[in-house]
Amino acid sequence: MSVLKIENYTKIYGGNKKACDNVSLSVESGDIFGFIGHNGAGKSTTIRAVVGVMDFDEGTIEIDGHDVRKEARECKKVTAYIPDNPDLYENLTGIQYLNFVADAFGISQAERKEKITDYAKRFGIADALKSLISSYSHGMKQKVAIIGALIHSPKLLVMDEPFVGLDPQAAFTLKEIMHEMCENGSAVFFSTHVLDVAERLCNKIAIIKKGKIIANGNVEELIGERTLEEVFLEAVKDE
Amino acid sequence: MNEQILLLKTMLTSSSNINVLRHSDDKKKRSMATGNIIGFGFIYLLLAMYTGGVSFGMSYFGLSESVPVLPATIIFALSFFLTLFKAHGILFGFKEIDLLMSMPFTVKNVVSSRFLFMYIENLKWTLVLSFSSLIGYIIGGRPSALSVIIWVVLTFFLPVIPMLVAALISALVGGIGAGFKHKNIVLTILTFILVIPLFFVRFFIEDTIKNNKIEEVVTGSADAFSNASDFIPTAKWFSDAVNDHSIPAIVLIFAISITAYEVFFFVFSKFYKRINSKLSESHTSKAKIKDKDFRAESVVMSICFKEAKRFTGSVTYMTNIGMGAVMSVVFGIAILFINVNKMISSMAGVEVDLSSVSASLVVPVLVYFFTGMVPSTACSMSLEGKNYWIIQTLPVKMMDVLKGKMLFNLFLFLPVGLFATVMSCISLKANFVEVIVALCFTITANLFSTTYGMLVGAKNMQLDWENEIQVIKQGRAVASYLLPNMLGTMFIGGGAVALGIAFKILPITIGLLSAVYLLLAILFYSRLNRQMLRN
Ligand SMILES: Nc1ncnc2c1ncn2[C@@H]1O[C@H](COP(=O)(O)OP(=O)(O)OP(=O)(O)O)[C@@H](O)[C@H]1O
Ligand SMILES: [Mg+2]
Repeated sequence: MSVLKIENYTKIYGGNKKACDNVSLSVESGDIFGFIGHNGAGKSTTIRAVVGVMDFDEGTIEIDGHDVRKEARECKKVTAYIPDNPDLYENLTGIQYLNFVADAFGISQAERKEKITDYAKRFGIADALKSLISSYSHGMKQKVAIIGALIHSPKLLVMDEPFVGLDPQAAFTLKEIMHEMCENGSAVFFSTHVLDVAERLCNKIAIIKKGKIIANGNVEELIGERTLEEVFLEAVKDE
Repeated sequence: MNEQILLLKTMLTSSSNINVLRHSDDKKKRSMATGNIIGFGFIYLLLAMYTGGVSFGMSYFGLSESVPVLPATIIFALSFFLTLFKAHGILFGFKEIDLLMSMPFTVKNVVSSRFLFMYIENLKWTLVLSFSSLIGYIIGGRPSALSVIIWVVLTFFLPVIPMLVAALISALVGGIGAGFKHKNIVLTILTFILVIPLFFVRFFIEDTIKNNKIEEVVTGSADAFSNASDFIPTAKWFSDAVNDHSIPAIVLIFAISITAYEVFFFVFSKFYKRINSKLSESHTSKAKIKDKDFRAESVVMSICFKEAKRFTGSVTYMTNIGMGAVMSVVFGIAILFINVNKMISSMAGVEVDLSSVSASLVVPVLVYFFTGMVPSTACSMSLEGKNYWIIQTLPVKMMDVLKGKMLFNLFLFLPVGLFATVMSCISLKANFVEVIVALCFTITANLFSTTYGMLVGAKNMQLDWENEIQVIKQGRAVASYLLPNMLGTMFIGGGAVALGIAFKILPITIGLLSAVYLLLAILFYSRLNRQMLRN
């Protein structure tokens, strides 16, 4: 069974702007799935529908066999989302935010302590967790958002341009964590503009252009002897 | 184009509903914007009918000399208070500041354009008030053409002085508070310390009037306002200018408004950057995480805690919503010292003897005016703003989120409401039945305001705001709470009190009123529950 299955997903903004047109793709357990496309192609529009922050018109999206519209809570229990802009509660401290998320997922005290301490150390943010989020830099907020997403060991991790703003060390750690998750049978679905990262990190890739999927499959099959950059530029070139 | 006008124009377009109507194709957004316009239009209409009617009445009964003071006083008081409660949020810590400061604008122009923005917003109802009063005045009093012209021109200057005073206070408070670790709390407390005595000035005015013995209610209100003009200079000048065509009065209004504006912004802009950057610094801590930092809580409590942090994290939120709570405490203390009998007589305009009726039951209704003014639930959904994704992606029941928000509102208002109620029972030596009824009323009334606020707050959620002021002071949810609640309390609560006093059955009428509030609260709660299940 697929961890994430999108079928004929269509989103129309404000009654006339078709941002996603008949998008279908599926992410299996163990996949690191890269989602690439030009600015305004429809990546965030797809991702936001997957994680349930935005309603949509047509098609179905299933996470772990549950429909995101009909069984929203079942889906959310196994999903984690990191948005492109880490807008967190500015008036909470980092640790208060993480505790809040842990409460929402019903994580035990012992477990949250272990997870938070461990991830905070790996991302080098342990010393800042008692400070207000409003005092954080962009990257620090992002790290807290990532830790919050990992607290409940999600089956599906969905990220919108996760590498923007992370320092090289943190980007490395995040990639490491993505691999660990996949070894444990989870799946990662993320959008990115960094093509060489996508090429090395992902086993599957989809390219979206003006709301339509124009390429989708295993990385090796998709690019063959070329680089992902060449394939991408070729694919999005206007006819 | 003039820098200031360019800045002002951009601010006005970015925050107005009309812009959404003109440029957005999104049907939902458009209908919300239309709803906003209609809702506020309705409030303005009521306001206009009221002031127009009173002005006409006064002129008709030969009191036209006293009419100009009426709008001038209300405009002074409202401009002052409304500006005071939003100046901080508008003047400091706005998002575009870095962008604007990096562009070739002078600090003075950036800051004064924010003030002018408040002025324009303020002008909407200033004009409604002044012109509706003018119409009543013209029909009832037949003033000279010159008086009318002076009235119209000076109207535009009336809000300037009170608004500048409010801006000055908020600049001073900002300057003092900026240096503290817990700035928001310090700023809020300073604001309250400055504002609360002003409410007593009002009582003081009322008291001096009431000692002059009143013959008629109409003359009474005329007196109240002509008396107020001794305290409010612009009201006096405006009145002299319109009635006597007094040149010094006209010159004073012009000269003081313009000079005060120039001087204030000249000085303020010198300190502005320093204050603003101090205000935007947040407290950091190097402390290590301890075991107790990981304490697990239920979802509802966790949301409630987050809500409390949201509240204490914003000066605008705290001053506007917390005002009612602070007023209840002040009232609860004051009631030990004031003569309730006299106060209620003066409010009713007739001498009433409360010693034989259960007077302690009138006070909880008055207290509810404070605790139920605007509940945090009416704006807390909208205040999620850009953070709403967090709630949306967490596997929690929406109803639990709402429960947490409602719980916070009860934590905020119920204890202070009960405090004021208990104080009044002590002060008025209430008997056992009265104490029970008074407590029941306070509890049920707050349950009502909490659930009603939550219902309109969840229904009229507005997430894409630029400034908190937009939801806290001008939000659709707050507007749709404010009016029905205020009118309801005034008519139904006032009716229950009047009937109760007249027939000496206050415990029964207030008891019934509590039952009504309780029923409504249950109704709203179950309605919320049902709506949230659908989502
Ligand atoms: N709230 C909205 N209302 C109307 N149209 C929108 C909205 N959000 C996005 N769009 C439109 O939908 C299309 C897809 O936007 P989306 O944000 O999904 O792009 P993206 O692939 O994430 O781009 P980027 O790489 O820039 O993040 C764009 O044409 C955009 O104009
Ligand atoms: Mg995007």
